Amino acid sequence: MSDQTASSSSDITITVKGPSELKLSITISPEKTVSDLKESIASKSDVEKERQRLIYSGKVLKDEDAISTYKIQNGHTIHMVKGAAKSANPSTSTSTSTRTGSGSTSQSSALPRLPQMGTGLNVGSNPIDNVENIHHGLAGFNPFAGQPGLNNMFDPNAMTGMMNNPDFLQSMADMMARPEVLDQIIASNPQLQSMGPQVRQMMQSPFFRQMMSNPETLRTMMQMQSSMGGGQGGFGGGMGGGFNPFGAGAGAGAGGAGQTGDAAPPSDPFPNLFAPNAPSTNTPSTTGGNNAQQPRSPTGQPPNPLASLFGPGAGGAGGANPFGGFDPSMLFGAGAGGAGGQGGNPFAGLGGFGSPPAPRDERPPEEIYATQLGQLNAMGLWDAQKNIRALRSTGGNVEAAIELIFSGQLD
Amino acid sequence: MAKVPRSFRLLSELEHGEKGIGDGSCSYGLKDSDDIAMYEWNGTILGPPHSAYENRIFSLSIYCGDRYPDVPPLVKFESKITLPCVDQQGFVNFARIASISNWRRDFTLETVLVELRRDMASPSNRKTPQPPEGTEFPPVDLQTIARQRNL
Repeated sequence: MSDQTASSSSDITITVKGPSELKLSITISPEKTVSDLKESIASKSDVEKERQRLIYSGKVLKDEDAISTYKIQNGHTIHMVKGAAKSANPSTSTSTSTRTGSGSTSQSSALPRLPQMGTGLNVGSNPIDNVENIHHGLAGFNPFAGQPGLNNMFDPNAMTGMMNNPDFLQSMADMMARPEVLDQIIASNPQLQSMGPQVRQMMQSPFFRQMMSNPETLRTMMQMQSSMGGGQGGFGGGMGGGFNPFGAGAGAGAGGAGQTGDAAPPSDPFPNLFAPNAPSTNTPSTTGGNNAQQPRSPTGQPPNPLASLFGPGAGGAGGANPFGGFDPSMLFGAGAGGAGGQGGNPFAGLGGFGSPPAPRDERPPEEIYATQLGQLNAMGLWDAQKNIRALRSTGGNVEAAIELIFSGQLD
Repeated sequence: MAKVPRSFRLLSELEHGEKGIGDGSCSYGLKDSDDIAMYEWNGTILGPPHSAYENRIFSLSIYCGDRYPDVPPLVKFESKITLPCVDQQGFVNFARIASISNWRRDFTLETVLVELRRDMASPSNRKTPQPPEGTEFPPVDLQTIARQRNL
């Protein structure tokens, strides 16, 4: 070796890849034990030695063995997996993902990400990286990770498939039923926090849960969204975006606001209130069709990851339509009054459905998804066009993209 | 496209495995790096999250016979697992995994591991109760079995 180090020229430098894009470069003598290596990793990351499990070439490394036992060569990569977490502690995973370790670290979180269901609470940018060791519901909050096509929010077919997947519906319902998940959601968004206990109540309400797990509702939302071309808003935006925590109380003026015929300005706090007493018989596709003709809302807002998950945050953050949104008549056809009245601005009318369209990233997809494409290539997926399409559909989520590619839905 | 001979193919797979693929959810390498014929391999699969396999590392033995990659490798779980495509001895029945039941030459060891992991995460399997961690299938001589099966 040309670069003689202070310790010994026989030292090898190995790459350690860990959860949440953690990547360390460790130089160590092959005579040292795996246990020593773990200590070295612990000093460069915040993963305690006891929780580290190292995998190299299909073998789990044993603490007492010398590194040379495994014939690890200079430049090879070891995978580090965190053992089961004692408790679901979100701060652990957060710090892991921000921890950059030594110079060779690459963080794909620097890439802008499309708002997308699941990214809200997904601490790292690759769900499987940080999900492995954490209890359901925190960093592993993304119930779609690992399920075919679930992150593929822009593909109506995949979406429909998902809607028909009882498993998805179940996980949705499970998710909503878990108080700690709700806490996590709320805690991670100041907007939600400031809304106080009602948020929690609302999220726990059977009605909300039913909505989130009702295939019909979801499908309707999906249809509306796709016909509006508001793809970037992401399914999550559609799902939760318009959710109005105060609607039930303030529902009185619902019909009126819609029927005035004024284009409800985005600042109107009550453009479409919760109006359970105004059921509509319009079909969703009709509404979608109407709205598809409308100009896009200028209401740009910075992509708020949570916005795409649970709308109260979205509405509040954007200031676009704090109370707009979760109007059953909107969901199921945008009601005669609503659709007509707010014709000028489909996004006002539809509340959260369209309000968080992220500013489009103008860079070429190859650049945006450079890291992910690299990973796909490394896995032997060479079809660049297909990879990009998959990544686009999944908002850059590598695992979901792989699912999508293998699912054949892109063919 | 020219047919890549077995040795070149396995060498490239080996290199790929040593460098570390993707996120580490699947890993593989030669059991004995002095095995010039590259018959016996190890593999690990990290149990998919939100499943009964979560937080476990499953070890596998893989035997790439002389006819690989024209025929699938012999794959056996060492860690005990309950999965429809895995028999009582730990052997993987490829016919039970739809995505790789029709073996293709361009499938790799990685494909097999990734697809196995996917099978574990599938809705029908992910809740299947699993044997206690640390239990193993009885050891067998993969070479003998592979020869019997003409792999």
